[in-house]
Amino acid sequence: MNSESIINPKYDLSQYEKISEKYEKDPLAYLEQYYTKYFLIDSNENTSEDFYIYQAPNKLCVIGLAPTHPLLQQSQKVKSIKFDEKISQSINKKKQNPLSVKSEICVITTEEGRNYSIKAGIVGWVINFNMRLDKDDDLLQKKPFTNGYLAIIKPKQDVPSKALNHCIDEEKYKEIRKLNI
Amino acid sequence: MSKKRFWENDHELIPQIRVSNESDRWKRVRYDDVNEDIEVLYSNVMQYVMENYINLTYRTIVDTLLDIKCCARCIFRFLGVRDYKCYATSEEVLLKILNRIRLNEENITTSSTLQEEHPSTNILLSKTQEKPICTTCFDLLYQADTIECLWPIIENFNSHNFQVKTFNLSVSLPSGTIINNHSIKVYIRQTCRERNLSVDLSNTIDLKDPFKHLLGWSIEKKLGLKYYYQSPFNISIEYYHKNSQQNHLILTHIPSAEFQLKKVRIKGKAIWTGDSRQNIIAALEKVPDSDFISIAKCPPLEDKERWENYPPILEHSAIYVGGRYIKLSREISQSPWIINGERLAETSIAECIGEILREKFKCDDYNFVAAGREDVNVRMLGNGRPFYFEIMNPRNPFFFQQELDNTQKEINKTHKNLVQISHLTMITEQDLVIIKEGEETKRKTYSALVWISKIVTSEIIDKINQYQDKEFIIEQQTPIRVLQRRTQMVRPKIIYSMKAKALENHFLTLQLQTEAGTYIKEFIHGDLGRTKPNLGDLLDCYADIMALDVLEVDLKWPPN
Ligand SMILES: [Zn+2]
Repeated sequence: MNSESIINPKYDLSQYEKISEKYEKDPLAYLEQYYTKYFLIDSNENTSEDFYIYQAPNKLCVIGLAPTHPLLQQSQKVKSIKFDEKISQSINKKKQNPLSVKSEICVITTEEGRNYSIKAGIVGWVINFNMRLDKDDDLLQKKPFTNGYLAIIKPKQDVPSKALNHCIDEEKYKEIRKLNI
Repeated sequence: MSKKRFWENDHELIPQIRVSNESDRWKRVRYDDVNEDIEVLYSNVMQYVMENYINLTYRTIVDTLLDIKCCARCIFRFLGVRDYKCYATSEEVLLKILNRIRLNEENITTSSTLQEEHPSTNILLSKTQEKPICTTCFDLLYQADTIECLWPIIENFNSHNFQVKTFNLSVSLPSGTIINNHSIKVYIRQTCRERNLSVDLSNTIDLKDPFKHLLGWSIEKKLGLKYYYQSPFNISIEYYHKNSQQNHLILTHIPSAEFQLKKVRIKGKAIWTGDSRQNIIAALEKVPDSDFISIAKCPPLEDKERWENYPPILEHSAIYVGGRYIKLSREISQSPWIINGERLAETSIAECIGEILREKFKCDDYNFVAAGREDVNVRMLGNGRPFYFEIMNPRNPFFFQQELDNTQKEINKTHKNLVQISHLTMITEQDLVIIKEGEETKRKTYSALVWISKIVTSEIIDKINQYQDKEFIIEQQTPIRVLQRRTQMVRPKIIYSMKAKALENHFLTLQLQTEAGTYIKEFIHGDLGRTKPNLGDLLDCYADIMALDVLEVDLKWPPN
């Protein structure tokens, strides 16, 4: 490297052609740089309350609504998002029992009075609720896969295959839900 | 990470068992400026004696101590001779002086029954196994300047090849000497009392003082170093005496000593505590002589065993070398990156520089400290990042700037494509704080290659460049990528300046100057909206960072 490029670095764009192509097709493709995507399919055959779980390299999991979730499929207006108070208060406190997959962490109520229960989805501890959802009602439905995430959970199990073995990858999710995005 | 200590096999170079060479026991190191003139020495010694003892008790002291075959040097201690050069004189001269001290005054009273020489004189001068071992010093003081005493230190020093000019000395003497010295004092007082003489032994010289001086001078002479109490190079040696190791336990049988040992459990092992030197000395002070005599051996029993020592520890205090580094690779970490025993980056800045410094300074180990850090995939360019190395126990601690310049060249040549360093120089311990403060307070300048979901237009560039001279504040929640180890909180950070240059299509370069501790990657991709505003918000699109370089860490370093 010469001294000029140490002060004023040049970037070889040919290295980034492929990634740019991918990003142009899907502006959200950048998330794959930071997360491994998993999906949690509704166990009830008649509903499709599905969730995504993004896992970061540090094992933390971001949970949010999958594209097939009724709140994103039908035009329902969200009235309130209530995070579980007990869990809220336990964040950052030591020696908490981990939540189970089925533990309810949040309830979303629509204007029509429908309640959607949001579960932890993995065994672990909530370390952050997305409090911006409180301030901005539209965020959940407008940017569900980024700014509208619901919570960040620290899995009890460090090994992803153990922590997330009840989840499926994106390909399988699309296959089951017959999506071709 | 447990680094392999370059010198960890050093102890193998030192023979474990003392070579038993009878002549080493008696062979003394000769100092240049020792006065062997008996007249001069005698008057010198008598000055101290007259100062410390108002009546003729000193004669009784000399006789009593010669009776129990105390070494001449220890008798000098009880006489309160503070000129340690006197102790360096040969045993023959010392005994002549002692005999003169006990006889001269006696001549005045013309007592013809006294012998010329004390009967112990001959045996004390013997250089065979016949010579009784001094019960107060276990022959440590007697041998302080002998080859036998010096040998472990010299061997160790030479095998490590320390390049030093001065040394300091720490010695730890057998605990048995404390009890035996006390026992002898009690014995002297008892003897004087029987002869109706009053005696004050408070001017007795502690065994450690003449011992350290004699040993120190011998080291000076043998190794050509200067004995200097502030020297960064320390020679530490611990002596023990097996037979008397438990002697202080008699104190537990003397109620007036109030000496109590406590049993504590450390890692399941029962260990007795409370028998430190200070505790033993403090306890002895409380004991009336009559109590001591009833329990302890007074005078101490003769012993057939002499002193022994643990291997000496020779250590140079840490020195510091500082400079600035440029990291040219996106593959290497700043310090060794190892998780669960697995290496995640082949090498590191710390190792690239440190391993060469290790060879140069011949140190046990090193610690690398830098003003902040960059991620593995981030380069550090521009004026480089300030750093320093703490060099632990260097065998070769002295470097001229010229040698450091050569070392810098060698590092730069060896790691041409990974690391380049500049300004390599010796720094002081006081300078270190600058780096630590710099980490938290200094501005950083970055260059980033950015992809945005819109095609880059001049409007977009203008929108960014309006912040070129206009600072703004962002609020950063703890990034998800570090949230597993850092508490969730919101940190406001100042972006002092931001400017962009259009590249092709979706690409632009962004130059940022920010407050220390700003997370740049998160400012660009937004971290799921956890950094507000982020670049995407400002441009109303998605943004991602492709490459990041640090251009400047605004800190004057090294200090000179
Ligand atoms: Zn002695």
